[in-house]
Amino acid sequence: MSTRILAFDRMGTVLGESLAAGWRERGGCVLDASAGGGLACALAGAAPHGVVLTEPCLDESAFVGKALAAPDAAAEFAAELHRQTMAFLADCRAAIRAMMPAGRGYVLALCIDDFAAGILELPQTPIANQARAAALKSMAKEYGRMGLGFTMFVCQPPREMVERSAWRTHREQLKVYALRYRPVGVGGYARFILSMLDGDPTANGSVLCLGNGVMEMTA
Amino acid sequence: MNTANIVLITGATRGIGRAITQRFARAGCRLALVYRADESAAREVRDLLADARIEAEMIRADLGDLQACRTVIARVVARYGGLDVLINNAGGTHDGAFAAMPPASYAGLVRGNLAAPVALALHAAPWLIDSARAGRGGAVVMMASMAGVAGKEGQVPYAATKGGLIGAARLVARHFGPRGVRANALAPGFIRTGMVEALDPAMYEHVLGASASPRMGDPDEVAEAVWFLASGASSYCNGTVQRVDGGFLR
Repeated sequence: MSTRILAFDRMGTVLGESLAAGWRERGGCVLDASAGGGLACALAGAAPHGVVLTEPCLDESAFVGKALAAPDAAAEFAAELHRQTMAFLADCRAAIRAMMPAGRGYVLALCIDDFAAGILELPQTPIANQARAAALKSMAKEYGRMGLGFTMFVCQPPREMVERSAWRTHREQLKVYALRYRPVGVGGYARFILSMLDGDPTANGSVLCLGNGVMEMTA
Repeated sequence: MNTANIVLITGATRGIGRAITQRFARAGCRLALVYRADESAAREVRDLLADARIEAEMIRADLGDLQACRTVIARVVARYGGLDVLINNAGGTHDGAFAAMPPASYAGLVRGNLAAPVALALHAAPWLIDSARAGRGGAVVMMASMAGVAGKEGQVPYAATKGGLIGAARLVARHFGPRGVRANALAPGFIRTGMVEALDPAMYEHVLGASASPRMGDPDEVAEAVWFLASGASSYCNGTVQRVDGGFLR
């Protein structure tokens, strides 16, 4: 049996690295498209088991903050949004085209729920998150019947994403009514997400919100 | 929202945009209406408004050119001295099998449907903050779509842009909400406009069969929802998405 390939649009993100490590532990092979040329090049001739589109990293709130003081920032942000959305769609298209011939495969899109971004000083990505969710739901409706699965994971900020002390410092702010926020480690997210790659798609077109303690916003 | 508010509407001369224009004109708002190319429709709207003695600035602009967004806001401010409400209604579609769709074919769609409304909102933000401070409004309405909420086969790039607008409403609300600005998205379902008139009968039956209200929506019904989100009637709605879809269930 050939080694199963899990392709990544890029490495270096917290969740992406953890998934790659988890996949290798399972005996799978990792293909990193960030090395050059993007997913379309990396997937040429490959038949991946799945493709992971890692979490968006453009801090949208930073641009919004700048836009009031510097009008050029608005156009700069809009152009960057365009670039980012086009890149995401191009990666999705490359993944679909690579997996269609086999009639099976998964596109797993990751994002970090930014409910606590303002508190923890993390990037806020509501535009990218919602754009990706809507695109993946559409792709599932279009290509699910061909055996392809599309699932988006909205993960609450993992434990490793900020300094350990920050969780203590902001404990009260992160509490929702009586429910205390308990950060999940990246390993926990990776185990759950990789389990979706076993068998037939069971959450096709779904946006799954992972974490403990706070309701998600992207769904 | 007060009458005599200054309201900027993009895609204002046709379909849902025209219904929105008429709704705000009836309320006596001062209008800035952006259209892309249809001079005949623009003339018709301008004449209607002139007959009703409604003040309107007609602005021809291709919002796919992101620099034009700044110019549009500048023209509104030059004419009226401020801006109270921004309605990002303009948008297009590009349907087809996604895997066969060259990215270049939908680049303009992504620019016009997503990047331009965001640019407009950010350029407008200082004026909207002033408006909110003066108790005149300070509201943004993003025209999303049910495709942006639930996805739609054959419309992957379109759905991405409309989903992005829902996120944009949240972003603007989160940032400018503390200064009194509200931003919300609207997600119409199947509305009787030129955009959906090309639906084949099977699709039409599917839509009716899957809706709690088994009929197509009317542009005026969307315009009423836009009015609600732009007006003080929705003063506690911020960063949300309002579906106007007749209870479409699929």
